[in-house]
Amino acid sequence: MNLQEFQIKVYPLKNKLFRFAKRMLDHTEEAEDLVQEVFIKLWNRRDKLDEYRSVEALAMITTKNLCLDKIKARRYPVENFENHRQFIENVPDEIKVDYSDLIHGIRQAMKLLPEQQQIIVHLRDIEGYDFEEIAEIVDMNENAIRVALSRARKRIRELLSNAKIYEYQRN
Amino acid sequence: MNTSEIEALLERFYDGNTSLLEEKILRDFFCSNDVPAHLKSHQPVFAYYRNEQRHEIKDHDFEQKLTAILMEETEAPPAIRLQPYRSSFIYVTGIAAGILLLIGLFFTFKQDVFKNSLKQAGNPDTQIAYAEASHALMLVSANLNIGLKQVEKFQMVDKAMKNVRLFNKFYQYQPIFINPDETSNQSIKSK
Repeated sequence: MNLQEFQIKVYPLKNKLFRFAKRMLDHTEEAEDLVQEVFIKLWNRRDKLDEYRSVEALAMITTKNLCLDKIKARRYPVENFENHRQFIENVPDEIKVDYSDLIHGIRQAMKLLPEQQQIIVHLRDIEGYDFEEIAEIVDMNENAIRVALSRARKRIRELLSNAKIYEYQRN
Repeated sequence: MNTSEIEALLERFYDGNTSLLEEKILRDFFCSNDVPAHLKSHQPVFAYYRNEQRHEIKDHDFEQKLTAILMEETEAPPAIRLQPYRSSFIYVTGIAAGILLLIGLFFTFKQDVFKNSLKQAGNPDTQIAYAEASHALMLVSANLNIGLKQVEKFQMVDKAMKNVRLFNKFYQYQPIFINPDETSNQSIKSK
């Protein structure tokens, strides 16, 4: 695979990889650096890329593994100082009022899930992967993924209702 | 899509049994402005998911930078990349500092040993001083012995004096022997 092909086939994955890395690392700059690292790794295997059934799945797996390495190497949990307000777009006005709090609440709820469930929810509900692709990325069978996904979705709902995050709607 | 259908979909959604298309329908429904009140509690999560999909790398030069790196990577063999060494650099400096410290300690310690052994054996000044001192002490002790011989002579005088004292006694008692009646009272009194 030459550079031009690589740019056409692999570069468009950058935002997906970025979101995935950001979900796992919870840090924007680190996630951007990591995506760069993933691309370099893939580029160094450019001769073999055509042999893979899906370069996208390979890229996601590489991202996942690098993120796990990074998290393992961390000595302290990273504080999340990011301002969520900047991401408010295309959201109904009534939610917009408290949206930064809501986003924070949901993000926190997701962080409380086991790592594998976080990944599965991210891949399914945010990236819209089908079960076959998720199975390849997380290396689990489809039934186990369905069970994990159901648990994770219910747990998020439960956490959010516990946090009384919907209280604003009564007013 | 009516409310009861949405409710059924929601239930299947939480059981993990919805298809991608059905999940898209749910997201579209909850991100619209006409959500019935009793379903509103589900709205934020779907809005959140939809919003998360829009996160993108903000760096506009990301691809350009990446291309530059990849071209560099193509020229240099991948083995000589700096990244893996960066973490081991700390360890290498640590080990080097440790070795330096050991060498430093070794030499300071060794110098002390050299100094002590030189003082004990090698320095000619101390040897001379030692010889001088012992010579002087020998002289002192020899002269002291000579002096003691002179003192012994005094002891002879002492012996002689004892004999002299005998004469004294003789003179004390002489009058008694010569003229016992005159002095007997006196001598008894003096005793």
